[in-house]
This record gives sequence, C-alpha cells and structure tokens, in this order.
Amino acid sequence: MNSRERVLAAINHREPDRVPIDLGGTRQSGIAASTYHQLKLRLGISSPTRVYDVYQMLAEVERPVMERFGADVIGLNRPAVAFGITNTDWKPWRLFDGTPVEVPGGFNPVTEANGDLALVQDGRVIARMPKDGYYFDRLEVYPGGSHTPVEEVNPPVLSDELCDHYGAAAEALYNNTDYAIIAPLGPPYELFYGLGTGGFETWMMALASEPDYVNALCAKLVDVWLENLRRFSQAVGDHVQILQFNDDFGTQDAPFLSPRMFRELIMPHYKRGLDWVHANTQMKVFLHSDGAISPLLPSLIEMGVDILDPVQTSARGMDARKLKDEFGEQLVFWGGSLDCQKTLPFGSPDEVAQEVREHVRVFAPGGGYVFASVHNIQANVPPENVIAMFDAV
Amino acid sequence: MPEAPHNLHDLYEAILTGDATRSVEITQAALDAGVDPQCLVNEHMIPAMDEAGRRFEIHDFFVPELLIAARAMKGALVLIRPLLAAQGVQPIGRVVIGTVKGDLHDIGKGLVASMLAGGGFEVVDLGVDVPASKFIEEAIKHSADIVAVSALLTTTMVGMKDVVQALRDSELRDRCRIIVGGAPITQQFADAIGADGFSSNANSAVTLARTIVASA
Repeated sequence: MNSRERVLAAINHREPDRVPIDLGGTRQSGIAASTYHQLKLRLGISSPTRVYDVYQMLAEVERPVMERFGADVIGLNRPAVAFGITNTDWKPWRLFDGTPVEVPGGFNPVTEANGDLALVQDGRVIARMPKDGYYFDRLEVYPGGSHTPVEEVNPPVLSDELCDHYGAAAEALYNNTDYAIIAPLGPPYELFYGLGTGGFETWMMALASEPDYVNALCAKLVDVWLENLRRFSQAVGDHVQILQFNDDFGTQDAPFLSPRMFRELIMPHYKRGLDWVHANTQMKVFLHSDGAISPLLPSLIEMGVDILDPVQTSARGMDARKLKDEFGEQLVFWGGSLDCQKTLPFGSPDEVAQEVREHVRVFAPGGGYVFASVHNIQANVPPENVIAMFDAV
Repeated sequence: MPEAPHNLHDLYEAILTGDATRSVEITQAALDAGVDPQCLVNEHMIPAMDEAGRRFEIHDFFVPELLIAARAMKGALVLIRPLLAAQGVQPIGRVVIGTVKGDLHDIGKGLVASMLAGGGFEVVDLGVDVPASKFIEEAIKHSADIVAVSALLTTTMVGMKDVVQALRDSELRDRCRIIVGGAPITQQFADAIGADGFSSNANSAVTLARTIVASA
C-alpha cells in the first residue's frame, strides 16, 4: 500500500498494511520549530528549518523527516498560513531559545520595550509572543467575543486567486506524491470556541441567554462557508481526500457546553455545511477538538463528522478502550497516541513507547485509526521522546 | 422588618437561572424595603451560587449556565457591596489572580475569577503574562488571602514554581496561600512545586478558596 491507499483504508474502517501516521499534515498534528530542529540534529539532517506557521511557530516537516517516521499525510494549505503573511521570500531568524530558523519575508514582528514580540497590522497589535515564549497568542476580538451585530459581520468568500492556488497545489500533491491530502476549510470563524476569541465569557453568556443572536450569527457564517466549500470543491475536484474543520468543545473535565445546548445552537449550523460536503464530494470530514467531549460524540457523528482528532485520551471520559468500543464503528480516531501534557514532554522514552503501544493496540484493530500526536508536539519535548513515540507505532 | 415586595426565593431563582435583570430588580426592591443586605447575600444569593456550582459538578450546568449565574450574582452584589462596606463587613476573602509569566491564555483564569467574585470574594485580576514579582506586589497591596495562578501550557507551567518561591520569600509567607490551576496542572504538580492548593475547574476553585479562608 502507498500512503494514500493506507490512509484511505483506515478512514474507511478497513485495516491497512500498517497503522497510518500523520506528522505535520495539519496545524494540530505538527511540531514546534525548536523541537523539530533538535530532532533533525539527532537524525543528522542539516537543512534549514522553516517555520510555516508563524502563529504557532510550527516547522514545515520535510520529506526526509516524513520518510524517517513513515508519515502518510500532507496538508493543503493556503499560501498565507498565518496572519495573512504569505509563505515566501524566506529569511533567517532566531527563536527566543536561539534556534536558527527561516521565516517568511513578510514576517516582521516588533520587539517591545519589555522584550515581547508584537505583530502589528494596520497600526494594531494583533498578536504577541511573550519574551522567551514559544508562540504567538491572538489579541484580536472575534464577533462572538465582541458581540458584534450580525449585519456588521461580513467575512469574505475565497478569492479566485486562492481557488486557483488550491486547484494547482492539490493537483500537484495528488500527482507528484503518494500522500493522503487533507485540507482545512471550516466556517470563517469556528462556530463555538473560535467565535469567542478575545471575549470568551461574553460569547458563552450569549449562548446561554441570546439564542436568536447566536443562531443568526452562525447562519450567516455558514452561508459563507457553503459558498467557500462550493468554490473550493470546484477548484480541487477529487484530489483532496479529507476536509478538516476545527473547533474546541471540551475542557479537561467536561464539554464546555451541555449536549442539549450543543444540539440546539451549534450542531444544526455545522450540519448544514457538512451535509453539503457529504452530498457533493467524496471527502471524509475531520474534526479537530481537544478535550473531554465524549458526551457530544453521538451528536458529532450525527452532524457528519467521520474522523475525530486529536482524541485526548487523558481527558475525562476519553479512555481509549471505551471510545473504540462505543464509537469505533462510526468514528475514525486520529491521534490518541499518548498523554501530551505529561508523558510526551516529561516522561522517559520508555514510558512514551509503552503508552503509545498500549493505545495503538486498542485503536488499530479493524482500521479506523491514524496515529498522530495529541495536538502539536510542543517546544519542550525532548527529541528522543519524539523518536520513541513514532518508533513505537 | 418591612415587607419585601418580592418573595426573596425569587432572588435565588433569578441568580440560579442567570436572569441578571431580575436579580438586580429584586435586590434593589428588597434593599429599598429595608431588607438586611447581609441576609440577602447569605440566605439567598450565596445559596443560589452554591446550587449552580453543585449542578456544574454533576454536569447539569456547564460553563454558559455557570457564567450567567455569576453575572446575575455580580449585578446584585454591585448594589449590596457599598452597603456592606458601610457596615464594616469584610468580603469573605481577597484573591489576586493571573496567568503565569509567558502565558497569554485567559479563558480558564477568567472563569475562575468570575466564579470567585460570584462566590463573594473580592477579586483582583492581574490579567495574563504576569511576572512572579507582580503577583507578590499586588497581593501585598490588596492584603490578599490567596494568590491564584493559571497556566495553559506545558512550557509555562514550570514558571508557577517561581511564584510559589517569591511568595515564600516575601512578607506574605504566613498569611497568604497560593493556589494553581490550568489544563496541564495536576495535584501532583501542585504538590511538587509547593502550592497550597489545586483545583481542576472554576467551581471547585471557589470551594478550595473558601476552605482556605475558613482555615486561616
């Protein structure tokens, strides 16, 4: 089996020749540039490390590294991955910890008096990386967080230029590589978590007390999403196998919102978009949501989610065995490798390998599983743990 | 005591269901009718928040329901606080809260701050990316009983140890406790860095804070 066939088998619930692996296919299964750099030193690979996501400071995972770890998935991204900065005109730069990297030419953060890095657009600081920090945090306020009137929310549709890029890039990846291709294209704002950026409590209280506002806002965003999905799907044809969207419905302990509120206020809107995807394309639908979301899984399946990432097994109610037994026939698990808040950064390579083997033993039988880290591999993870993690699969 | 214009159980219901307009309206009417503000707080408002917290613990309430209850509570407290202050009544405790140095995440910290305020604490929110020294300065300035520190990242959580150390090295060491929380934080981690308490969610943080001030 080649990589694409392997992933397609797994996401269609057939057991492939081996467990498919994702390293860097999405901006949620990637690796921090500093860890990646250390990893390459360990592997004797001396190419420059490119930061392709200057928001999360994620490394572009290169082919030799993908091959070393058996990665099977590649992402189809827009040319401006983060903050509208196009990934071109690469130039040298240094992370706070001294790691030499390359960043896009348009990435020009300002150093503030206290040593923080600020990213300024149109005279406003839109993101900040604290001194000695590892990535930026957004300072923008999104419509739900600012309680913006619905008529003032007018996100743009995908431009013709961007659609041309998607079409050409998808065709090139399809014809010139064997990788399974995943493309992120959710609503202009994540309908639950993302909409509350910069004003989470304001947005949560709107959900609890202003259903008409929430419904009108989500409906408008899904109208734009549908138009974008049509344009995207026309551009890429059958070259993309997986459509990704992101949201975050869970804390460590429980979903943020009740299953009832989810079904009333969030699910109908997502379902409208996903119904279109299933009716009009062959793409499988991939949802990234961290956290303890097991009470929402039946609704997510009904909503049209085929693949769940990152399967945070350390969160309450997300036990691997339970998930596989209860939902393994309807849901593909993508991630679920090990506890990335404890074992991966702080455990020994042996502990990492042991936990990975336990989880793979549960998730892999019968297909329906793609191995990946539970969210991006962070900056403090020892490279030997990364190697132990992938080599244990 | 003069007759209150509302059944005060309605105040309990208004807070529990997160109806801020009604909770303020009933509180104002009750105060106008001469009801003792401390009685309103202790007999009706805090029990409503306790019930909201209980429902949160059993996953009957979730974050949105909890936050509108806290909003309804805080709205009523705005009317009541000046009266309590005039009577010389102290808040049940003072908390200085913030996200640790290098970490800009504020959602969990914000939830805890809201719930503590709803639970009757005086809360000073220092925001995000707060250096250890700032926690201590502000805790001294506000005579805090508790310093509450949040972290979301595995890369920044280690900085909590610096706050614990700074507190132990300061004049506050005998009269101020430090509690920690955030997604990657566990009881074991809290113990390892010498924190006085850990809670895994916004509601249990209130319980923890109450236990601490009660035992002080």
